[in-house]
Amino acid sequence: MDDRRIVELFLERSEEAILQTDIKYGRYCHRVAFNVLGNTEDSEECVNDAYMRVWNSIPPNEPDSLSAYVGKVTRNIALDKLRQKNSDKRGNGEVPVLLDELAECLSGADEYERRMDSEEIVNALNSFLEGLSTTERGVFMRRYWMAEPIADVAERYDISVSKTTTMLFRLRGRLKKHFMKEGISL
Amino acid sequence: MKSEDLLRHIGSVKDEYIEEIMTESVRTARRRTDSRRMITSIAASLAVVILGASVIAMHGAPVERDDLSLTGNVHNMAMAENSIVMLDVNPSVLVEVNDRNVVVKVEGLNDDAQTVLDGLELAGKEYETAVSEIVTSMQKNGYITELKNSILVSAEAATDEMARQLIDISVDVITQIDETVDYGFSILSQMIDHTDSAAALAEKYSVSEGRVDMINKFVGEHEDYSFEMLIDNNIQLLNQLFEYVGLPQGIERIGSAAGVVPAECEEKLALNELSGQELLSFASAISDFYDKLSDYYSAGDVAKRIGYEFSIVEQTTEDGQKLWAVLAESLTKSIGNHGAIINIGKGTADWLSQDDTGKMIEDLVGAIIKAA
Repeated sequence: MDDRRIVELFLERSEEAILQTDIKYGRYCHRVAFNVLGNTEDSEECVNDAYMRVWNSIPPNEPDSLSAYVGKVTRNIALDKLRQKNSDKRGNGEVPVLLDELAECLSGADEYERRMDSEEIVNALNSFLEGLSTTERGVFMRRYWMAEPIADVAERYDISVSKTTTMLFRLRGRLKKHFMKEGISL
Repeated sequence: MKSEDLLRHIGSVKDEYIEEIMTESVRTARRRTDSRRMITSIAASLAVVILGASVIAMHGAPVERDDLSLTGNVHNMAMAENSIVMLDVNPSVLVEVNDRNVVVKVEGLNDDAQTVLDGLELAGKEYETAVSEIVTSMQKNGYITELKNSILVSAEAATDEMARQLIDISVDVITQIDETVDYGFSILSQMIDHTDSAAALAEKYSVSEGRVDMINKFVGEHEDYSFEMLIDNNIQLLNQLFEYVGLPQGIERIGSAAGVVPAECEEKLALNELSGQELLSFASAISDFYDKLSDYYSAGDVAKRIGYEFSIVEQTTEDGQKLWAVLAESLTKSIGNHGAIINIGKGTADWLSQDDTGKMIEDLVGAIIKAA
């Protein structure tokens, strides 16, 4: 079913909306949740929570991109659950490694310097992504948005794991430089 | 900020980037005409995925689902590929553009291109902006002038539609620059397919695959010319040659090449009797003549033939060599007349002093009458 029609079903308060969302994006949402949480049971719960949050938020929201909307909701809930469940440790999914990798993009500036507006940071991320090739952008997004294991990213793009690792390393370096160029100290 | 916060912020990037990884299999590939292209094509055909969908029952109860292995929708996964545009004058510049028309990479393929690109930061900019900056730098560095007004745009993309779009954008940008400087650009353009053989030749001669492809197209239609004969020439001279011989198939042109014999004069010349090498030398000599005239007139006036009358007379000598007398008769007495003898058999054009030009014309006319 067309995304626009699914959003209309949400607006009409038809439960068919969730059925259609699950048919179209269920697998993807589960994948995002599992990558973050590393646990099937938690992932199931996360996706169900995400559907309920989408159900409760449309309306008033009326997203232009249902796929991105559902994905963002799922990802945020997964990260929240991870934080709740593992206040003293980082969990079993890809996130612990991701966090170590992303730490390379931070400048080490002190707390006063690095108080940046979230919007500025997101804008800088968007302009960074805009300048990447389609493959680079896909690799970056699959790793750091979708939290996919490097081996899965490599397989999807038909490149070796070592090449993917190198590409990600360079992309993190470029992101750090991009932040500096944009005057953002993280 | 902690890395957790950065991870959160990455979650808020534009929807389009999220849609991309949800709905597309992204692959960077260049269209090929050889066996590797076939492999790419097969890969594209196979880029179909069956997404499992769980069936849920909704009766006011929380969502329930089966496992994820159920069959469901079939989604065609579009191939998003980077495209390549090559800009050739003598500098050969390669621009890689992503599916959002943003420049991913710019590469200078020869020394002249390095000069052009020096100081330019083009990665991450919109394609239109990059083309504008590159062409403007070509002008500033003297590679494009009123008398060297030719530029070749070659596009290599996953589909003809994408290549056509990039060519159209390029031509629009260059035309806009031309409206500012009034050089009267002559823009050659073509869509090309990547081949390993063309890539190898391009690397060997430090030019673009586009230039190699254009020459191959021309040579394929004219047995009198060889690839080796033409590859060392810049786009201006190749374009001038096309003015005399005709454009090869698959090449489009907007605007005429500067520095050629006017069409009305050309009709009186038997240029079709010349061999390929001779015509190339002739085109080069005529071009030199115009260049030398720019010592006396502005380059713009020379290119547009303003302020002087151009004439050319052809003669065959007793030993069968062709000679041409070229004359620019000034329409203002203060500049005077300027002429040259083009003798391909003996080399290039001989520039004549002003005192000699009058006598030259008399002699030539006399010689032609005698021959007749």
